[in-house]
Amino acid sequence: MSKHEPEIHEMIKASTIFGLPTTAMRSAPEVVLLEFTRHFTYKSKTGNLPAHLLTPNDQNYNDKERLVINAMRGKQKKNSRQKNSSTEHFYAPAYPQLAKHSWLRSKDPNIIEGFLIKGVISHYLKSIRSHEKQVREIDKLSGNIIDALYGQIGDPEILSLCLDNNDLPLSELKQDIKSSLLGSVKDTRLFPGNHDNSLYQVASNDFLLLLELEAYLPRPHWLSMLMCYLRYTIPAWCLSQTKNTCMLVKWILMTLEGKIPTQEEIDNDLFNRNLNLLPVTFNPSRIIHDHVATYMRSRVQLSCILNSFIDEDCFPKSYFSKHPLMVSPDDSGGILLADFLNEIYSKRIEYKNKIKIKLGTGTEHGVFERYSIRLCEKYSAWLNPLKKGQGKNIIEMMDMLKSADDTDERGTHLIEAKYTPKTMFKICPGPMALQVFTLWADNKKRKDGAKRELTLSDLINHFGYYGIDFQGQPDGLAILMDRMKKLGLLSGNPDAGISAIIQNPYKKFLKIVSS
Amino acid sequence: MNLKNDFLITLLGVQQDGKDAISLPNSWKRDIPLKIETKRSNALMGFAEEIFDGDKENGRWHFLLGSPGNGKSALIGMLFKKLVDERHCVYTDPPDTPSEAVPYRREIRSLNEKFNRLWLIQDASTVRQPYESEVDEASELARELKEAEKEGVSIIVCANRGILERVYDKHRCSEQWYQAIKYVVDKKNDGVIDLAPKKSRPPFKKALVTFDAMDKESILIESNDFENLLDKALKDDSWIACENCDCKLLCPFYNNRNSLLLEDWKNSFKTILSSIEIWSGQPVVFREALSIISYVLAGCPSDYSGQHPCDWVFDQVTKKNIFVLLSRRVYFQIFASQEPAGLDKDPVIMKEQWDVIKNLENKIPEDNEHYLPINSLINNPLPRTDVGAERVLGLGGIFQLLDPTIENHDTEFFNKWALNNTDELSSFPGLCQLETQAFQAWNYYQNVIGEQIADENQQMLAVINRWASSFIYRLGGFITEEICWHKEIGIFYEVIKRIKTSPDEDETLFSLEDLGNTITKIMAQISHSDNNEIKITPSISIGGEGVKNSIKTKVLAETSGAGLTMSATFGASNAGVISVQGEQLAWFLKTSSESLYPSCIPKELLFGYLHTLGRVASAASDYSRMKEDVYIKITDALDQTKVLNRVKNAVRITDKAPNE
Repeated sequence: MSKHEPEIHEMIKASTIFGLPTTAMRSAPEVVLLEFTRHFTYKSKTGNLPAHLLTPNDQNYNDKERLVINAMRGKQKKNSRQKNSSTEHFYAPAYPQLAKHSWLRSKDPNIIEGFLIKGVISHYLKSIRSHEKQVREIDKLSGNIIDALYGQIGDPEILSLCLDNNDLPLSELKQDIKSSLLGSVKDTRLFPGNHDNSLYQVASNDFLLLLELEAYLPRPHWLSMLMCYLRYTIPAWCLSQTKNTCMLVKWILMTLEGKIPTQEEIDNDLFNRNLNLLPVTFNPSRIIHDHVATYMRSRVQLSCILNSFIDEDCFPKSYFSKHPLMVSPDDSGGILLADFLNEIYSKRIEYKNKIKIKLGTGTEHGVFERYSIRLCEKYSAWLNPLKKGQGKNIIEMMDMLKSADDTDERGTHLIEAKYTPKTMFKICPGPMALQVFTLWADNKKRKDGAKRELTLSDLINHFGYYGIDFQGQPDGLAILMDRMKKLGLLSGNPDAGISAIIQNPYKKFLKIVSS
Repeated sequence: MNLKNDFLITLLGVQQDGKDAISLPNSWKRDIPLKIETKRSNALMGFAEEIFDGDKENGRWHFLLGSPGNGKSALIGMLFKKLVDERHCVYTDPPDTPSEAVPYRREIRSLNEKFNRLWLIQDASTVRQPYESEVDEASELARELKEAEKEGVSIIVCANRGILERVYDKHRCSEQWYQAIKYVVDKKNDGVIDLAPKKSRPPFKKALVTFDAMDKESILIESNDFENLLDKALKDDSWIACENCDCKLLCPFYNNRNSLLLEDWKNSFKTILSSIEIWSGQPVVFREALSIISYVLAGCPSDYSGQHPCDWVFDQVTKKNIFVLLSRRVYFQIFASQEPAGLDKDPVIMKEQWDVIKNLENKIPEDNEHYLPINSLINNPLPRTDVGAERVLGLGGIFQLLDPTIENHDTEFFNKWALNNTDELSSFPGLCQLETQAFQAWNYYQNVIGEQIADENQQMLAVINRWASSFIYRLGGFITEEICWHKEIGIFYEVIKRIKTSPDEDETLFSLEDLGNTITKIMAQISHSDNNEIKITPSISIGGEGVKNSIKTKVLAETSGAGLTMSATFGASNAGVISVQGEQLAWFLKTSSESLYPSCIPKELLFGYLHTLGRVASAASDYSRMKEDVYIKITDALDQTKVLNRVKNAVRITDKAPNE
């Protein structure tokens, strides 16, 4: 048992649908890019090393390399906004060679692997049911990641000319990624397959497009786009995964109360898990904290319920420690959720009778939930979900969405400004994020075969896949229109509302890539 | 003799909460207030005549597209009234229309025919079944068009563009009615569709599809509609009752009317309203125009509490409440609707002003002629601030952004429009007794305070001066058209007007080129770069001949959005078109002409601009792969700059750009 919460059962932990990888603070997109770059090249450091972030003062680099590091100066560090020193900023590695002498704390969890590779990408690859196509896609992806990171396609770019030659063999790096993806896809559980446009599908296609565009855009601009991608995808995946745990608790309690959710209900709930997670509004809110608090409570509650099943001899301990929980009947190698719920249903009376005695109550109303809450109350992660245990780490990881003060030089943020109390904030994508999402929306529309002009509605839908909702709050659409107008991208009549035509600023590149 | 002018009641009816603010089918048989003939209304009458008298084979499907409030329904209402009153047409509502609902569709036939020739469809303002749980205007319109095709009738449809786009996106099919929608959405006028394939003798076998994009036109720039509306409201017949009224010298509404009859005042009013359009990129729609005219000529209904407006005026005149009356003069109404009687909208300043005014009341003998105005101001309700037309007149509305009191005028303006120059000002055409009496009162108050030596007097004088100038500056700004941003808006206005009225003339082409050059120059200026460099991020600027050419701005001879936004491209590449809007350009012109720090520009606008710039420079030229004529200037966190220069695949670091 950990300090703050009961230990999570292997059935949950090993499930790529219900398990949540460990999180850690990521204060800036530059840090996430460093982690991303090292993940595919120099890997994470082992042992017990503190973080050594990229800085132009590092004597391991020569003058030209230091100039490139300076070119990619990013967000100012939080604890030193008032000082004026070169070390007080975050710096992004423009190329992998510049990530060689910098790293994150060696004991930190690898969020690129946990959320991007084992999350978004693996689920996308797993959803390709033809093994041949899957392997082909993995091959392509592995090649594209390394080619884009090293700028291998097209003419050499000016910043790359400043760097020493790469000391890593690219073909081996590609092979490493390929092996790692094959392994991770194998361990990935299938999401129910009747829905298109899941977050993992959309986000993977967006990623693939970005990799292809590297050859056509100036490196600083492309890196900003990539940071934008990482900045949105990782938190979006994390928040949508937390919903799965909340839903699992709901389904278990429903079953205990005598109503087993149908496979269709489960599928729909899972498909819609990322809908309307983050409503865009200028009214300060604490919605991320609310999501995280709800998740943490559900997570503790889930562990407590499963422990109680063992304690009351309804399930053997081994039931929860051998196989991961899976939801798709097409999947194999785990415990199917529907079967698990049926088992619970068959044992619910026996379980109820036992816990009623412990609860010392005669009334049956809400007995399962009340009992589980009583069990949860022993844990600080339940009592104080944002400050104790993983909740705190998740909130800290979400820091990557925040702009520096009320501005953000890269404009890829999602959370604007700060309020008192500190947990209040406004949700509104920055200008760069709006541009990049417009590109992705246009790309998706083209791939879906729609020939009509791009409209706000397409952009809103694309943000929606990432859980960002422009229509849930009264001011959401007005904010979007205003921001697009200020970027010179709203060319249609505002009267058309969500049907107003918008311009994809990267239209010419889409044409190049698709040709 | 205190007389009542009922035209003011009629005018109040067209304010946004008035009974005639929205033209609905159940009120179409009544005459609409301030009805004017427009080129559009004449064209619509022509269509109706063609439908009933013309070629019996070919009908018409006409779509009126427009923003809420821009007069679509009123136009249809006028047509309906004419058909029923003059042509004695017969109308029916569809059988499934609930008795208490506003009809969604009105079917019209000639008296001597048994079948309907024309349907008027109101998709913008009403729905067929208002009690349905999920009303979808797009599905309603699609259903209606399908039926119209089946029946072979002509139709005139009022719809918002968004509804049409939704029909287009969500009801794709190969049927003729959909073809009509496609013509409209794809902006192809004069397409022809087949009607009623299964009917042996339909009213029409074919229909010409036409549309009128009312949402892309300004009633101030492209037509005289606003002027005609105003003239209609000002015409003599409506104001006869006021001629013999005892209150006429101090009645703000009658005097507003008289002032606006003067060409200078009327032109100023129109220019200021056009500025609102330019600033926001959104046309002033008919409903807003009517609401503003009504507010200027009949005041705010909330002030009256059920009284006749003339009774309210009489009441104020009797109490000599001249500052309240003065705050219903046109120049003050539009710019200071949120500052009752000239008192500041900031509650702290307002309290300070009240303290001074109350203190002042104690210093004035009760028998003095200037005692009563201040006493009445203190003891009577202030004018209301909920004056309608929120977008323009509300708190934070566009009029407030263009308020002359926040513009940095030259000395001449401040000297002319000053309390110590009121003798000259009083004789200005268009001013009335209200201004004269107010000027006298403020001057008297200043004298009273000035005669008494006390520490507090300086502050009191300042407060009185601020109070008076809040009226006088707005008067000056209105008359001279020197409102905030007037120079910058003027530049944008002239170009937009040329694009709309004479896009191919040499002068237009040159003015577009000039504006393009100005924007190119400003781009470099705002990004704080020398040598025409462009700032991509805080640490990177790019320069060189290759870059310079790729970001050269070209303003196109076309508008976008609601017709009040310009379009621009960059360099010779196809890096895409961006929209340039009035507020944006105004800020940039001001930043350039007055050498403002870019940090003065509103954050969102500046960020939007810088990101546009970075994107444009990146998309227009892949500067990072150019092999010559390009350099990157990199600035570190300590503001030290180095230049990275490239020739083919060789790079070098220097302290200065190659051309420095």
